Amino acid sequence: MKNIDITGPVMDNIVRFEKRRSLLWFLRFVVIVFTLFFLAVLLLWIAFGQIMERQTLELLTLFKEDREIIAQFWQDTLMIFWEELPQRKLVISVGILAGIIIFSLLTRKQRMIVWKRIRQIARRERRPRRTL
Amino acid sequence: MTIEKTDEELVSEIQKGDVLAFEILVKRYQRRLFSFVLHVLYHVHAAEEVVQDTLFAAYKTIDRVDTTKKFSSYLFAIAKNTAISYLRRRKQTISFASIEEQAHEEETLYDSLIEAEKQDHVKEAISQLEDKYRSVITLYYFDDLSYQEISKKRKLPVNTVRTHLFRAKKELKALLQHEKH
Repeated sequence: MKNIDITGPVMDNIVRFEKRRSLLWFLRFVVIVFTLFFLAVLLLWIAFGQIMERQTLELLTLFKEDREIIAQFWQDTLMIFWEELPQRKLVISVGILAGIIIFSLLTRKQRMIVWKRIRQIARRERRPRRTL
Repeated sequence: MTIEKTDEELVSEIQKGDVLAFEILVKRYQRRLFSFVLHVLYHVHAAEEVVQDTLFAAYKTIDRVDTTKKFSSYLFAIAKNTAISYLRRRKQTISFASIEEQAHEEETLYDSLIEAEKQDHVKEAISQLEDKYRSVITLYYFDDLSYQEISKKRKLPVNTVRTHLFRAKKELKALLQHEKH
């Protein structure tokens, strides 16, 4: 029977394929996480801008006053403060940040597998080739 | 002394990201795959190409492999389909008429197997053989073991293996011929 050794070509093909696949996966992951993070930060930035415009934070200066005044007005002040906040934007941005954390946790196993593959590929590429 | 890992253990490691473990599977199966495919294609370079495609296809789909089942069956199924696709692309046909022109009986049986496989009868025919004949046919033609290797594996004398194989081939050919008509 003919002695066949196609290990080299097969593994070269696989390494090329896996390199592309793994890097694409990581790229997709990074793009998703950064896009969501950027969106969350943008929303927070807009929300903060609105808060500054409305001077909503000024309401909290009540808590620098005397105890009696605070006791009298703190509930109303906090209610007004909450109503003046751009709630929708804040909730969405916090939701997005929570989503990023959940996404990272869900993809943790796959990330480890892909990272291991990339390390293996790098190890194989560093390996000196056998020559006759 | 290092203990050789089973196919299923290696597949499991590959699924967890150990790409280089596939190299062990390649070294383990390339010879047997080549032999199997060569019997179908009768062309060394084509057989090498098909074996490479087979192993690459197996790697690409390795995440779907069920490690509770035999990996070799999966691999040989891919090899068979890849070889048949190759033949279809090259518009080659295997017929009993062309087989009868060739002298070698093993090639005739393989051609018969492939021809019948196209009509999906081979598995059924093999399953109808007695256990002792079925196992010898499978080990000789699909796992590409020699008489000595089969003798060791089945704990039978070599001559008994030869006899079983001879009878198995005869019976299988009769079954396939019968199904053809």
